[in-house]
Amino acid sequence: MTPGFMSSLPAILPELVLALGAILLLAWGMFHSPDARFSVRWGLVTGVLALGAMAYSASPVEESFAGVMAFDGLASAGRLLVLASLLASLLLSHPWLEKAGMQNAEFVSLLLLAGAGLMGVCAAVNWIALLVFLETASVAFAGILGMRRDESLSREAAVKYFILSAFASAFIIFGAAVLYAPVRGFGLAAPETWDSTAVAGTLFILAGLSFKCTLVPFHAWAPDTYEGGPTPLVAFIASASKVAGFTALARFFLAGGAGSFPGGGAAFWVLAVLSMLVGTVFALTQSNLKRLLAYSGISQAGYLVLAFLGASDTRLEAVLVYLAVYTAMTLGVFAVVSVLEDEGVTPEVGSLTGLARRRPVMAAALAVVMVSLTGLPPAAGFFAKFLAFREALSAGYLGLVLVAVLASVISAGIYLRLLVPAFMEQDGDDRRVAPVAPGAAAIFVGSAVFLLVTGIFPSLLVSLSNLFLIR
Amino acid sequence: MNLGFLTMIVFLPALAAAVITILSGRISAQTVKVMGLGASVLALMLAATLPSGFIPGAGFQFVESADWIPTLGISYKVGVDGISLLMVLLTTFLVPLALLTAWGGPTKNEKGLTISMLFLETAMLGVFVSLDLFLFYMFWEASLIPMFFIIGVWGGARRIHATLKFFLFTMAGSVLMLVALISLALLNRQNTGVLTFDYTLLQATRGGFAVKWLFWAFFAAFAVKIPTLPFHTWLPDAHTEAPTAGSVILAGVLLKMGGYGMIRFCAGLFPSVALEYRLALALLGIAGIIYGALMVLVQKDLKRLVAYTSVSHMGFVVAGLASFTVAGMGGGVLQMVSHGLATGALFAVVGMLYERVHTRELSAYGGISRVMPQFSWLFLVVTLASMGFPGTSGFISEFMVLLGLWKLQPLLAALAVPGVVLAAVYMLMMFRTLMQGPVKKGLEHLAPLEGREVFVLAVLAAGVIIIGVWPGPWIELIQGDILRIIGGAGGPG
Repeated sequence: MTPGFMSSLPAILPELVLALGAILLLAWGMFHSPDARFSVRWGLVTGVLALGAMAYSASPVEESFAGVMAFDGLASAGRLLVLASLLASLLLSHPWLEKAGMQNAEFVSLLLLAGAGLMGVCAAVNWIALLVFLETASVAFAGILGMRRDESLSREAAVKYFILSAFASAFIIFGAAVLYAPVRGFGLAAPETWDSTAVAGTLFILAGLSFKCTLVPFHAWAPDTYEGGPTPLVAFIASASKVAGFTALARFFLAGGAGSFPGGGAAFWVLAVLSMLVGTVFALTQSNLKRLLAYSGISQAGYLVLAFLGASDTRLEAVLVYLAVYTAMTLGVFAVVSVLEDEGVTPEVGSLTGLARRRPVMAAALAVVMVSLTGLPPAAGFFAKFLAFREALSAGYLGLVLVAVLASVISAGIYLRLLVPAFMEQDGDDRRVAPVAPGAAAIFVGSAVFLLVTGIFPSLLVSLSNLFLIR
Repeated sequence: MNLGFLTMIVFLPALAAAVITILSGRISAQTVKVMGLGASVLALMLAATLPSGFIPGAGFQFVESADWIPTLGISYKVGVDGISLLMVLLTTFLVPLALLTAWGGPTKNEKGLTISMLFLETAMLGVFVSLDLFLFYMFWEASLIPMFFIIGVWGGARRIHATLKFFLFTMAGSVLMLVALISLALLNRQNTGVLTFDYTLLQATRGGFAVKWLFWAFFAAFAVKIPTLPFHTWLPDAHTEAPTAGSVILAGVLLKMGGYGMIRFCAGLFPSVALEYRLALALLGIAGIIYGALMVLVQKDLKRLVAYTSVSHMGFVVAGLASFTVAGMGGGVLQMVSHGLATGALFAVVGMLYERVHTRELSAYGGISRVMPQFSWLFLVVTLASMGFPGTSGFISEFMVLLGLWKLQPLLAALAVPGVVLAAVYMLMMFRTLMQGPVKKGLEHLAPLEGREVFVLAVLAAGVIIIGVWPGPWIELIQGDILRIIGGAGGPG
């Protein structure tokens, strides 16, 4: 071991804590079969320890492990968001595990491993390291998705996710291999000259990362995976996987300087337009809430590209703000979905009927999240879109912004459609109202409060993101 | 940072709504209504003290500002000139009355209606006092959400269709404005090197062709809201399905946000463009006047009928503002106030009838003046106000608009005049159908007006007459600001 390796270790402590927690839980699970409560508590304690480790290793290290990882502001922001989603999905998993009655220890430890993997992706500046972390997460995801072997939807979700994520990794590996000569290494850096080989390699990598970010036309896995997967896991994939994907995208194309590759503007333009339109239009036709949210997430990824287009390595605030707001919105809405599932219903749009009467607080939180997803003030979704549009406009993408506002208007039809049954329709059905699981309640209330407070005082978001970006 | 009086007026209703929301589990619906009414009356009383310290024509006053998002050049900045002051007074005046019309109203979730109305009041007041474009847009869009719930939860049978249509139409208009206001700030940064969303600083922005499409993007938002032809189709649906209190506020204040936006932003930020296209815009307004009036004549549904009178009357606002003359623009602003009072009263009247008869079919009514004589007198005043009878505010404002159009092009005034005649025709026809003739079956025993109902109508009628016979101070209040906007067109474009 070189001294450089040892001195780099503290920086990666959070990932190590998560991995160690996962392994210990697995080992414990071999001899005893821990119940859901124990496993989730174990996971939460591990997550909180990892959070502590992040605080401990807060001072940014530009490069470590001989230039394979960079623990800079971008990495810290991404890792923090991943960790937050991990804690939230652990909170959601308790009632789910109680009900599903499956291997609790395996579920939680795979979730922890996936968290470690996605956190690593946010800090990787080398394609090999990035792939190792990415695969850690993907394999863990596929494992959890396939745990309910007796359900065909679950099997479909697992197989689709596994095969398409393998494709994505293959694209990235191929791209990295092609870029090896032009870049002179496996670093996430721009090639010295933009010959056709370099452009081809960059496009392959763009395609591979687009899978993770669910950008159209690389989105096809999302609806089936969301529908068939366990909701706590889907909440994590929907938020953290996209955070990691966009962090990697930002690192390669902005910090690495590959953003100006020939045809790059056009490539991102096409990805953004397709994602916004396809995501929005398909979401309109869904009645299953989880499929609807998958398409909604696809369209949100399109807006994220807008934030991304005008950004540069020194001006990433629009991307970070959008990612933070997106994470809060996603976790909030999936908390609501998980409560619906606990009630024993399939989460359809119609199952929200009478929600305002049955669960007024949850209905109010849902309203805040939906207003935010539509991009309306006073919720933070508006400010996130405002920043994204500003970035894109100042970079001269007027046409793209016009498509985005068109998609926003159509998206009002999606998100308000959920509020109509919740607030405006009554059912005779007096479904027995069991108390909401405290974990889920904490998440949807927390997310609504976060969205309102940061929506009314957006400078909080700006200064928070600058905390990570400006040193 | 100096926050004070104006901020207090704006946020008082929202604060009250928040308190009510927190307490709502523990207090009765009656208490909620009293608290809501109390908060809105308090806001009215505070707003009523504003004119005493106000100097007409001296630009924006009571200006308060605070850092909000300093890195983006966005600040919390509010202030009023004569035009916004008039709108603030109109809003704070109408909200308590609207709450009163709902007093005996919907039986389900009465608390929610009060809470929504109070949040809506804050959003509307915010629109009228914002001096920062970002802040303005926040309030503008935020006003959609309470209205979405008011129509969707407490509306009639087709309420969901109506509320989604209302939402999507107005949002489609406003997102274009969002793109335009960001572009305007970026254009200004290009010119001056400073990124700011401050209204007064952006007024100086010049940029040839670019400002033209910015003007039209802003105009789109306001044209949908007001609404002008051909973006008006959401209005009849929304009005028909909205509960009475919602209709009063929709007609009384929300539509005015469109007219206010036109004069403050379209004319205030891009005076030279507004001057250039004044003929086309005036024609658009006149088309609305005539089309709305003709549509009124064929309506069978009482609320739809009143909704189309709004299209016609708001056409006068557009035509007046477009004329870019002192008389025309003054008339347009006054018409907003006049229409707010008269049509607000008209919707209150229709609501009172509906609560007694439970149908909106025009053909079901007749001879009500014999059953409810006191009501018919108040109805007559409201009818006359709505048709612009001399002695009511509508007469003054429509006359000023016609004067402005005449100055621009006499032919335009001639085109708009049939609107005045048609208004007399349809209002009197409506009065005859409802009030006169033999008493229709089933209407023989209607409950007389309650005290609060008499109060609401009497106060609105008094407002209409006071402005009608004593228009001087109101015109004086806004004249200086209109002159300033017209003067803005003098610079190089």
